[in-house]
Amino acid sequence: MIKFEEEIAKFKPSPEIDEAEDLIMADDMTDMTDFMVQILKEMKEKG
Amino acid sequence: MYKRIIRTANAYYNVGLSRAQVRDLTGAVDALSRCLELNKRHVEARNLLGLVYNEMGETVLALREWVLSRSYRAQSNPAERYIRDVQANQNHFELQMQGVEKYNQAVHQAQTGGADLAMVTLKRVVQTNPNLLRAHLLLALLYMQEKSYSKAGKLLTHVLMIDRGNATARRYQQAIRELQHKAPETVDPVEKNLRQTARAEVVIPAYGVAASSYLLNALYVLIGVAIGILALYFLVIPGKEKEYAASAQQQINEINSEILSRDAQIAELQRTIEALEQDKADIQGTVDDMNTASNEAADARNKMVAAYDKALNLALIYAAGDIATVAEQYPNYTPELVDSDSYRQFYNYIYVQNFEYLYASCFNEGQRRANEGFELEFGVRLLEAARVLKPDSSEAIFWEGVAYHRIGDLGKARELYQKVIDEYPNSAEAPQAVAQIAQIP
Repeated sequence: MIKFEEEIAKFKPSPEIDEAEDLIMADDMTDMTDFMVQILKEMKEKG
Repeated sequence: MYKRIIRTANAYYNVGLSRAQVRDLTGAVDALSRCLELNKRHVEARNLLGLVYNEMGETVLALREWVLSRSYRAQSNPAERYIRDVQANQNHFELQMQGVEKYNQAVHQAQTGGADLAMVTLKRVVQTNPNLLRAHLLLALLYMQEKSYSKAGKLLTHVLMIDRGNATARRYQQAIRELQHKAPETVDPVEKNLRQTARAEVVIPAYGVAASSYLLNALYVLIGVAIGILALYFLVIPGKEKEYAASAQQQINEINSEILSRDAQIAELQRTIEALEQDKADIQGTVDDMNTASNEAADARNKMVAAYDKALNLALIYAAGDIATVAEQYPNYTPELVDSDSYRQFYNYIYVQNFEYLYASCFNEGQRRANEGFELEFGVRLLEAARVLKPDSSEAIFWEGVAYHRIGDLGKARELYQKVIDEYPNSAEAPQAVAQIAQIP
């Protein structure tokens, strides 16, 4: 059963062109390999 | 561990690719996003994600992915072309951006009680941005709220033609079916008949027929009109559907060609990876061999350095005139000690060309000291050095005995005199040794 108010609330604005730069800069660029390197560094320092 | 992450990322990319191939765009976004969470540098995944976003009407999100992709690989990256293509037609691009802006306004209006205003806005947006799926879904929802299920249904069908995996659209479709089952919507019967006809069923409304000619004529007119309208829709609707399908097919073809290009790139990358794996194994083997050789070379180098040091030391001693030490060191040096022509020349000079001089120097100086009774200890050393050079020198043995005799070491003196008498009885020193031994109590 569709609950109209709940469904309406789920809709989020789509990014506009003037937000593009902020969108690119704000992107979290950390990936798994970065985490792995970080963990290995910490292990080395503790070890 | 790093390899495993990369392999998993590649697996997600492949899943995303296969989903995009069957137009499950929502599923493709999910898989490609996971790929990038593992490996942000996966350029192919970024490019494909951008294409998927673009197909869903999310142009800015698409541009973001392509810009990021370009930052990771500036050369030979199709992202450059995608960005250019999107921005090539400025008018179209601006129209798209205006559509997005209007959609955002409509969202705000719908969420703040202005559903009617939102619908008006969205009706324009779905015309200018036929791919902006979110706008279609929101308008469908608003139609559902006012029970215009057929209009909502059309929008949802459109969404699912672009994105087969759109769960929201499917959910709304299911809701419409449930709602229509409970309370059939108030739909224009002509529209309902035309819809049925579009499913290749010709339905001629069954009207009650009066037994009068007037009614019959009216009936024939009605039937004629209905057939005319039906015929019109038979031609128009298929044509529209064909046009729509052609447009969708074109988009599919474009994506397919991109995907084929991706497949070729993937195959090429796989071959490159295999070749690199092999190279790596070869290089590792070479490194191991080099390490072993390096250790052996280090040992040899150390030995050589030590030998050179010895040779230099000997040269210094010789230069200082310490002939006794030079003679004493004679057993510690061989021509093969240092693999060097210079060293061999040096050795040859001291221990071959000047051997006799060396001996004579040691013996003469030793004998002088033993005979004259000064520096007797050093005299002993010199005579011993002479004996190192010539172990069978009876004169050196005798005069060492004399040196020990004069030092007062009578036991050593007797020993050496006896050695001359026993081992060299025919030497000139033997009779002298006998005479010397007689003087020892």
